[in-house]
Amino acid sequence: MESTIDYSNYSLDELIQARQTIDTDTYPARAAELDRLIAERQAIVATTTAETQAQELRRVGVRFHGNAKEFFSIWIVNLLLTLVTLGIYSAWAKVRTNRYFYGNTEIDGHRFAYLAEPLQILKGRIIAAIAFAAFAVLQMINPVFALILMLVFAAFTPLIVVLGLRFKMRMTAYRNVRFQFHGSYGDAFLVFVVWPFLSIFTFYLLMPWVLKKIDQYIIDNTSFGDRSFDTGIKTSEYYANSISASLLFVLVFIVGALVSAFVLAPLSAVEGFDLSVLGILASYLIGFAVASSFYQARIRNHLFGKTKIDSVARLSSQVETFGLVKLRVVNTLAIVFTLGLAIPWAKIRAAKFFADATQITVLSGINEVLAGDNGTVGATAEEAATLFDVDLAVG
Amino acid sequence: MWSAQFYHDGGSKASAVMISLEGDKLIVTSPESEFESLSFDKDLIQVKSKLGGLPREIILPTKDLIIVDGDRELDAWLDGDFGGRLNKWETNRRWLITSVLGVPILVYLVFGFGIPWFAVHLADYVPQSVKAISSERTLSALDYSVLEPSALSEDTQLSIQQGFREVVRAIDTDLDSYNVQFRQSETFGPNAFALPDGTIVFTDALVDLLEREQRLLDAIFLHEIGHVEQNHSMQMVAESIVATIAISYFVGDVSGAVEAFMGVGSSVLQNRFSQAHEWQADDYAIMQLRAMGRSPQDFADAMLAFAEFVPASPDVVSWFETHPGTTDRIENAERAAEQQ
Repeated sequence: MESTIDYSNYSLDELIQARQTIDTDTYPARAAELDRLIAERQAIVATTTAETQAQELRRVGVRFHGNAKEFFSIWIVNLLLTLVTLGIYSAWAKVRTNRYFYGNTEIDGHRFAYLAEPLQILKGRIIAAIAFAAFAVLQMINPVFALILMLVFAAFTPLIVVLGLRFKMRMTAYRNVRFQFHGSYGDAFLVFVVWPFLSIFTFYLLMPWVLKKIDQYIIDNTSFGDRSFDTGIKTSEYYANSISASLLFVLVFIVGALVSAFVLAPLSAVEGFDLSVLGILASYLIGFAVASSFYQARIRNHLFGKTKIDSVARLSSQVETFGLVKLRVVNTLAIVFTLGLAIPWAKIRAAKFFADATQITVLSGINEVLAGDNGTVGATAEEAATLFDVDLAVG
Repeated sequence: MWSAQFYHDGGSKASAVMISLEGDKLIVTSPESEFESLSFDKDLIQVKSKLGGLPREIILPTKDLIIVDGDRELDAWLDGDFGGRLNKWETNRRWLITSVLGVPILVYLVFGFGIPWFAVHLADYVPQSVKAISSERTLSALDYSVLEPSALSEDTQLSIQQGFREVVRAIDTDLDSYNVQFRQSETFGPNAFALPDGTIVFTDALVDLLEREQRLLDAIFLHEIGHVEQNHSMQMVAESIVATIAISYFVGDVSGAVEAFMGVGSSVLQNRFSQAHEWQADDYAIMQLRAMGRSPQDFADAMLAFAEFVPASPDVVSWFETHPGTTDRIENAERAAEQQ
């Protein structure tokens, strides 16, 4: 009777070495065991290398097919129905709007789909409105209540974010496969409450790192069917861009203030109306627009450039700061001067802009993605999040 | 025959297929013979409603998905007689024109009348105990931040209070007591304000501006009582809550800049609401002065003292002001005095 040896801790190389030195005639059972283990390990290695070395099939752009004329008509008719029904129809309007934008976004010959049902959205809106009203009333009655509620709310924020993301991802599909979000509440509590709170005590010096943690949490916990998103974003990029954006703001503001003081102020003396105050306000707004666009563009490009979907796709983004500033300024002015009628046009422009700035490298695993399990998630969290102004946007 | 994409359930696999219609059946054939021809009853398939120029999405009973560019014939088959109604509205010129005209009118009606009306009625349901707690908290918060104890002598305070007590006796009110307080404040300047439970605060600067003349102080006191009697603070709070909810509800998914713009819009509305309150309180004071056998000129004189202190502002700014122009208010009171 030969004694057996536990090979389970051996690496593949060690197993092969052991197999070469063993005498098959003396220890047939051990040899057989080794052969089995070697075959098993080699199979694993083969699949992992296949995954990491998935072939690049093609590099494609994102095409957005929506047009402002068509969407304006949809938008305004839905708005009318929403007003006439005192807001109830808004759930249907939201579904149609999202379906329009998702369905008109095409990558590699396939379009996205928005799957939520209006009743899910309606339920969410009602719950969110009640929660907000309760909060407002309690705050009015007693500020101390409000303070306690703020703490309760802080504990709930991560939950709202997690449920909101889960709903949003599950309601998004591409090629009949849903996206998924599986971030945990505990991690969300860390990145959305604990780290931001601690960063206050570092005079926000920790903030770029916190923002990176938030993005990382969201992306790493997202998957397309059974394929995970994976990102290698760098803290240094977040710091470099935060600092550059702050400097940019200061620079624009100083130039604006100098222009106000030396050009506008003397002019005002003639006009009898102080233009320099307007000048300073304008330089603040322009500075903010430029700096935030710079930051958003750079971070989006970094984020996309470092993100891949396991053996399915690699992303890349080339948003230019100037283009983004132009987009936002023109959109805002158009909306303000048309008293909101330009909202559909602005939304279509923005969708086109971001689509044009995005590229996808399609990898060979694209046809083998499997759908994960499909549960149902209510829309409450997502709706509550919009109403309470928790920003969920990733890019 | 239409060429379409066939997405197999459970994965990302897609195949090019041809679909055709045979009576009430949808036939799916695979030109590359990946699978046998499939046939589905119209009743069993699920069709996403038509929307703009989007390709049609057909969900088969097998949970496979077909995406196909629809045309008139296919749309008619998929939507039946009623199915495409929303899309018809969304693409119809008459509906478009109705909406472009109807939306601004409805927005104006909802925010200009609907919400204030709702707020006024909602505010009536706030119990006195809640008003008391809320007022107490507000006053202690103000005492902590912008108010200082009054520098008026005790005698002055008592004599003014005595005058006010006569005023309260003369009017008809459901409230047990009006509680008058004096404070000093740089932030508020010459001012008086009412808290919802009937606490009314006068600043020293106001008492000095009116040269401690009881007749003028009484007129201002009546104006503040008007705010309390007509429950204005609670209406403001209710209006602000309801408007915030409505705005988030209607435009919750637009960008920050637009929301900021809507914020300006909502504060213009609030200020108009608040201007309406000032007029109501003025009219209340005028009415009560008459009932007490005094002249509305008292109120006009008090406002005149204000006008000398704060110069009049141009008309455009009035959209962003919480109070109507002082000149208009003086005219209003003087007109009432002449009528007497």
